[in-house]
Amino acid sequence: MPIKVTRRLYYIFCCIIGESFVMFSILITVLIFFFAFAMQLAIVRILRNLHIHTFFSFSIYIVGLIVFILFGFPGDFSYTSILIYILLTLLLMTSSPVPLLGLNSPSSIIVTILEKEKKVTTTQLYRAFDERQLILARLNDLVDVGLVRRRAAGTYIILQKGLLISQFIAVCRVLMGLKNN
Amino acid sequence: MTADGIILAISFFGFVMFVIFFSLLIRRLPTYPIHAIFSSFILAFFIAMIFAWITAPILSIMLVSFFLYTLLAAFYILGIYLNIDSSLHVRILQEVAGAGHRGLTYAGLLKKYNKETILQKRIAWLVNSGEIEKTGNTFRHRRNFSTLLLREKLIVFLTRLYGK
Repeated sequence: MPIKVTRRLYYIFCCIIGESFVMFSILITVLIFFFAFAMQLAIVRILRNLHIHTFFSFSIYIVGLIVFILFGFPGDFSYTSILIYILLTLLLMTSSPVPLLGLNSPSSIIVTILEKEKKVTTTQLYRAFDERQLILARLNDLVDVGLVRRRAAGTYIILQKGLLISQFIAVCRVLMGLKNN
Repeated sequence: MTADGIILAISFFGFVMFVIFFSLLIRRLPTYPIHAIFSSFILAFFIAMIFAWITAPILSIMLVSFFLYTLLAAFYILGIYLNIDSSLHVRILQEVAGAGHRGLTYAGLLKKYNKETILQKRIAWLVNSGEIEKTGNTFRHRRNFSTLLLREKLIVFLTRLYGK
């Protein structure tokens, strides 16, 4: 076989092996993530029975990450694989029913109402929302997590931790070009 | 540069482009978040793919870079943008922080941020993204599948999986 053809075949072989290896690495990462997710589902149910906050169940993903790093698999694509694993975990956390992230957003309530009623007037739509549920309940959430304090006189005052978060968000808003509306 | 490094470089380049385009578009179209998200995602994707084609025209590297870029963009929108821009908790926290050491009563908060302001913004979003239709004084649902409510649907799905 001429040398040129052999070289070309060798190159194609390397490309196929290389491409398969990249795909295989990512596939393994996704599989490990889903395995950790299945474990977390089981842990959530156990924690709930023990009356422990279910947020701690997310620690299973840290265990998964440590195992992932210790085994060093999948070799050459370790940074990409680890980043994909971390991002999948973070995305799951942002979409999880965690109290502060809120389950019933006003937008989803509006769509749910319109799906049921077909046609709704502006007044009916506004009447469907309770201001206490919308604002006071969330204000109390902030008190519960220690970002805001309620004084005896009924005034709410920001705490140091809340102020830092608020200032950080204000900077982010400016950088992102968002307006208060 | 290793293949790992190339994938990371392409993905982060695309992500930075996405953030820049999105920040520019959302300033011009504050009540059209869905349009801003999709336009900036597609624009940044094409620029990242041109960059990928120049640096490493290998299909698997491009596919993995696209996957990583999508995850980064999704995290930026779901984890950062939505929480900063539309979270009621965040907005209330900012109003209380704005009141300083004097504090703010519930009635005082309602003067600045109330049902009216919350619903006006959401209705504008939903109408502009084509989720709902406004005819005169009435609203009607338009779509069966809502991209704007993808996160809410995911939360409902996960709540079912986790159990109540």
